[in-house]
Amino acid sequence: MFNFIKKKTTFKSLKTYDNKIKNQAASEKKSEKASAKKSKKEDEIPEAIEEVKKRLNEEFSLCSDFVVREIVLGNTGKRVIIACIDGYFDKAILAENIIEPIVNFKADIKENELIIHLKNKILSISDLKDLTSFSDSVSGILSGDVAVYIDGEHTAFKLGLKAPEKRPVGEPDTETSLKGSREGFSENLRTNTVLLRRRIKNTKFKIESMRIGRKTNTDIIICYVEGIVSQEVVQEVKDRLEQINIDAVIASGYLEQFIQDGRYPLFPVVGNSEKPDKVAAKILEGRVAILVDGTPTVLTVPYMMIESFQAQEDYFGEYYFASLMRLLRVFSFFISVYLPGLYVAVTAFHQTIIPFKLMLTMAATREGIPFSAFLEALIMVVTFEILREAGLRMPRAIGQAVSIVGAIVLGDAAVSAGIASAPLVIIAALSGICSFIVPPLMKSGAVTRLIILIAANIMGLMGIGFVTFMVTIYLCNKKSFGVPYLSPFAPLRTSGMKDALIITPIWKMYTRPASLAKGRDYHRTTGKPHRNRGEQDG
Amino acid sequence: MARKLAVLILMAAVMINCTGCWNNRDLTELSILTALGIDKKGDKIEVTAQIIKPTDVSSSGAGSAGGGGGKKSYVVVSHVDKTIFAALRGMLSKVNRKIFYSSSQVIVISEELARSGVQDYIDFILRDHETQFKSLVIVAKGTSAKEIVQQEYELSKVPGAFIRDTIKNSDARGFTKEINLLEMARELASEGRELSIGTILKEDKSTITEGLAIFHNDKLTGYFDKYETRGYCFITNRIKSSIIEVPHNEKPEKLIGVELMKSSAKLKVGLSTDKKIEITIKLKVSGNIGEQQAIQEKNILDFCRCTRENLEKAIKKDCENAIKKSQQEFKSDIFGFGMHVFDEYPDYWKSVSDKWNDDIYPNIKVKVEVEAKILRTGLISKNIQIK
Repeated sequence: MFNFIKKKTTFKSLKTYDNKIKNQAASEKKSEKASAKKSKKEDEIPEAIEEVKKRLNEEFSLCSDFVVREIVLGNTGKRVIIACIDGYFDKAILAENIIEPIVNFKADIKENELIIHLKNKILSISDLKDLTSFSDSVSGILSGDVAVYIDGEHTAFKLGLKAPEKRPVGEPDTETSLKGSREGFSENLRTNTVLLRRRIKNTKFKIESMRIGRKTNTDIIICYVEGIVSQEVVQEVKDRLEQINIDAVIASGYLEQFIQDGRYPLFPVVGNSEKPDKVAAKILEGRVAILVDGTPTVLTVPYMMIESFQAQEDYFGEYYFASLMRLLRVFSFFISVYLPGLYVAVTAFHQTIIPFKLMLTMAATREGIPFSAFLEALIMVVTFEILREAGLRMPRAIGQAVSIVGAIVLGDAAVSAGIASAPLVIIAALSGICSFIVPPLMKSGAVTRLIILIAANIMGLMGIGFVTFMVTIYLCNKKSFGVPYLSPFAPLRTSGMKDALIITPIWKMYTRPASLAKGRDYHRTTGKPHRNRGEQDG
Repeated sequence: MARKLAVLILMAAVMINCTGCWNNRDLTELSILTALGIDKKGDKIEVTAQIIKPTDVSSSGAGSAGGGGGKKSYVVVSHVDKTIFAALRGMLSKVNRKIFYSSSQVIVISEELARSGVQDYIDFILRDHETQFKSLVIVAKGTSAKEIVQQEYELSKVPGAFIRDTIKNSDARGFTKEINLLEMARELASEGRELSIGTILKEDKSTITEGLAIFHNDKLTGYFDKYETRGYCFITNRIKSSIIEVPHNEKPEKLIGVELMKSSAKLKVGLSTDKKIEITIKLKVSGNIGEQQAIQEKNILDFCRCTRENLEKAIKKDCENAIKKSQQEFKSDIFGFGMHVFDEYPDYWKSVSDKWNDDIYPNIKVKVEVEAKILRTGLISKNIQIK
């Protein structure tokens, strides 16, 4: 049906990488297997409350934040254990809504109806789940639920009281926009899903959860809109996530490196965003979003290169201006990648192509500079990277000092001291600043710039052409979850051009990107599938 | 992976070895040459190079104010050797940096060298990969190339570029011919057309680019004056604009200056029954009246008609003089009539191509028809009346 996902090839690299990790953590695995075997037998929640208490204390030994409280179930005299991690929620709610009703329990009911009665009448908590396995109860406690064990019962309850400390929903620093929503994702997973749900109020909007990380047990959520997204992509995302064998997931970047196509991609093949409106729009185009607990950055796949040039404001009217800006972004990306290399190639190899008067100016500025153009360019480009990195890592208060030192000392003084020529300072600064215009490609752009610079020094324009060919071939070959990385350019999809270099008004974008919404809900207005591929998908 | 890497390295190796760019020279390691002069010294060649000091050129604003006002922004180096290539290399004993002659704006050929034939010397300029085909070529009339190259100009710190610009102005004057190396090679190599190169003359403290040097094969045979040169430019469609002085109809001592705005020439070749070539040149020009000395007494339409007729006569005279001189004096078909004959009557051309310049060309009939148009008379239709 769909041959665009080549499972075998895409997973080959992933599997080998996994094997490496498996070998590394072999000993760890073994011990865990052993414990898994043991727990299989004893995973049931013991009837005897003493046994429960003993095992909980064993499990949570030396965990000072673990709270276990033994109370009596009202007039029945049954012993009940309440276990939780301190700090996840307000203790007053626990006392009011759980401990009090249990202690004040007064009813004359049969033994076998006790649980149902408790659930339905006593525990006034909205989020209540039955637990039958002990390990589930432990992981529930760890994620901030309250576990209630009752003497003589195999079933326990998990009560969701979690209302953790959280950062207020604020505007993300990484992606600012003049128009549109100022909300940003936070570290809390539930807040994040609500931010998305509020934008897509539809039962077809699915939020599936899973856990990754043997040690951290991090919650992961996969979001997509059923009917728009390709099920193959969803399955692929799940498969890749399930295959991840890692003990800790601290940030979404960890997952990104595992699920991306290719082991060492030069360009980003997984989208990153902190803005719910952006992610919602991407989901509605047929992408899958991956949310990781504790990270405000949400991953979106499949990712195409053109997405790097798209900005939120592009879709807020003034499409002609947005088109101009889109073109400017593409242009400045090329400037940032090529300019230093071109300068070196032209001054060292192809002086003939410089207009005569410009050559005189260039020759005059280069006069007396002890370095070759390449070395000079390398110094300036590296200096710029240093300044950029310093500005990023430093406490904000010192940031100003960096810019002053960078601009005046390194720029102006380098020229007047005769270490660098003025045009080169301009070129290094321009190419550096241009790289900020397209943030997703900033890092790959910086690397490509250096490669091109070196190639230009060895082979001149020929070298630049060589690197360009190589990178283009690489990009054409690249796929992100089965979607060609350079689409809609390669392969050419004319319908996708409406949101590529030129942006058409929203009312004209009545189709979803053809490379993403294959067959399914292709037309936004009618919900009809693509005319050529309509029957292929259900 | 290893295979891919090997392929990549192989490709890079092929690229490095099979292309021309194997050598990088930084801009600071080069001396920028702006004008090249070629003179004859006995049986040797003297090559004169004008090398620019870039810092002195670009620091024009601050530098000249700071002091050392009379300092030249260029250096002239010459070297005598048997070949141009050897002479250029020989200069390296006098100049510290490799000479970069792709930037040469103008190549000056001395009269003496031109008279002895340029064939032997043009080869290097065409063969070498560093020479610039766009360099303009000019013949130093009555002086040596070295002197032209040495000439300092107050208006420009780059004399080579200055000369180039004055030659390029010819499209607004028509008094000289702008020809670059590539065109020169083409004119030398093409059958049925002889070479002609613009000339440069030395003046007291400057130079004038006026006139045309006429070659027969590769040897200089004589010169056109500036009006004949303009005739040449009219016929070969090289003119964009020019000021033509036309006598006033009633008071011939008073002149009217007509600024030509457009000129196009069309050539027609005919072969009469007695195997004689007849060439008709149809010139269509249009222009504005730019200057008028005499007081206009007739009405404007009559005045324009008279001026038009006189303009036609003046242009016709220029053209006919040029053709006549090339036919009778130089016997050199610089207009390229032969090429047109070849296009129209290839069989006939084959029979005469050997003796074209010497026997046939001087005797062919060339008819010049000029059709002029006066477009505008300027801001005022009548002269001011002095009262």
